[in-house]
Amino acid sequence: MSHKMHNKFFPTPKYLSKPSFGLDISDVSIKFLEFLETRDGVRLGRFGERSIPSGIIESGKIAEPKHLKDILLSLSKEEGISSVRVSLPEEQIYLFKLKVPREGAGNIREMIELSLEEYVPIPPAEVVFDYELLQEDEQNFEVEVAAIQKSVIESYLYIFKDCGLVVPSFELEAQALARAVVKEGDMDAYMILDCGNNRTGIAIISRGIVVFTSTLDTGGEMLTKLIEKNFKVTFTEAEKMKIKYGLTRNTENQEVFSTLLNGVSILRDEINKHFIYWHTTRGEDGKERPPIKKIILCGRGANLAGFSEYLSIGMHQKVELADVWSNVALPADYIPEISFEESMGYATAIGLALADLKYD
Amino acid sequence: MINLLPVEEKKNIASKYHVRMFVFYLYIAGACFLMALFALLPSYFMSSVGENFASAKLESLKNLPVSVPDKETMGAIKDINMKISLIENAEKNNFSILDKVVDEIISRKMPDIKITDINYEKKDGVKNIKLNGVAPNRERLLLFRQMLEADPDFSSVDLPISNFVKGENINFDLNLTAK
Repeated sequence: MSHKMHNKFFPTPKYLSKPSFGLDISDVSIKFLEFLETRDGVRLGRFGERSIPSGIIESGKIAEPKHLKDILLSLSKEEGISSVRVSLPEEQIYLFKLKVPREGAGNIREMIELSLEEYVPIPPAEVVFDYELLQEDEQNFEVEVAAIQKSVIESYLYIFKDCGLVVPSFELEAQALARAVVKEGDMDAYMILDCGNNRTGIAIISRGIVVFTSTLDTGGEMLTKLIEKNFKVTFTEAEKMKIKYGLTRNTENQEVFSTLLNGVSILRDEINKHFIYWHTTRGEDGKERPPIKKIILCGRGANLAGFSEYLSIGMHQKVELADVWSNVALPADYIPEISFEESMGYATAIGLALADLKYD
Repeated sequence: MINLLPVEEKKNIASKYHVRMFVFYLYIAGACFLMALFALLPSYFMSSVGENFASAKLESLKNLPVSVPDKETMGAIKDINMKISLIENAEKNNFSILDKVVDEIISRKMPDIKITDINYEKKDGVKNIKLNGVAPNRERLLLFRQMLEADPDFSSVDLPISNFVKGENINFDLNLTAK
């Protein structure tokens, strides 16, 4: 709190801080985005996307370091990027809550380290972890711990260093998403769906902190392939059809709607499972979990026409598209040079770049 | 904010930040030094010119022919030198004895005896003191003489008889010889 206040009144000068880009790395693409702090507010700086050929990153693990290095090198050269805040896919991260007794908690890190073996199936020496304080009472500290295999972090770090890029932070993808789409200071529980091409990330945010994450191996590409197969068209044509018709039901769209419904219903059922799990189980502390206020959709896949309405009706819940600029102090007369649909795909990168403004 | 960057890397970034800050402060210090240098340059040049001007004036004054001092000036100089020499040699000539003699006289003096003049002279090793003063009457003057005679520091006390001619408010002359 005091650090925040200090930064509010005595912000780190730009000549001392190193402005960073938000870099959202997935198996299929790298998205980058930066914010520029101006006198009248924050403006969108450079942003863009580079596709990653399949096989270079698999489920968040780097399979072809050399190819990834080439992509990052060209990116840093073309865009003049020197510092990046990177998101890590949930598949590689272990997230859990832990109660650390106050007695003997001289060093919370050491206490967590001693408990790591109970939660992470990797020897503690091979784990990199960090924590965030959720709450505290007279007996205990309740902390949220995220842990990842050291070799995964090192493989990323090695490549970034090799490309001359400084990495001030490696964050959970869901944490970055939450920073972008959940209004700062909002303590309610929300489910965030990051609808990607090949995967759908599910994250539950409560009291502003990521408390649950899961990943489904289905995404927008699966829906395109269904159209491709059913209508015997090329992938590009199928993609166009998906964007044009989506899940809006009318005479012209009847067949596409039915085709997409098969895929989307699978997705809905999976999301519903997580939703029900959250509400029917108790937390680690034995208490009831806070009810999810609404489901927030982001990611390019969320732009599928009628998708939010379909989910809302199917799950009997409030579902809405994310406002990825909700926490960005944009000037009143300024509209970012990016369309709403496109901005949905940059939610993670926006959240990462926001960290540069809020925590630097 | 959970940051999964290894602790060593976090420390590394923090130390780099401090290095940047140090370099920045060095730049600021350097800039301040340069600014001070530029700000002081006019003063430096002006004082330098002033110094040169004063030196040149001094040189020209030195080269001027010195006027021969007149007789009166020379006399005044001689007199001052003599006085200075007297003061400087006071210690050498044992003038400090005077303090002791004056103290002795004053300690013997009654309050109604007034001393108006003391002359001290050292000649051939003999220390003569001549006192002038006013005594209220003959009895008091006599008592004063007796007091001085009783003092072992004085070898002789000479109070001429003429001092007793007047009965009251007697202006007396008294000659003492100190041991």
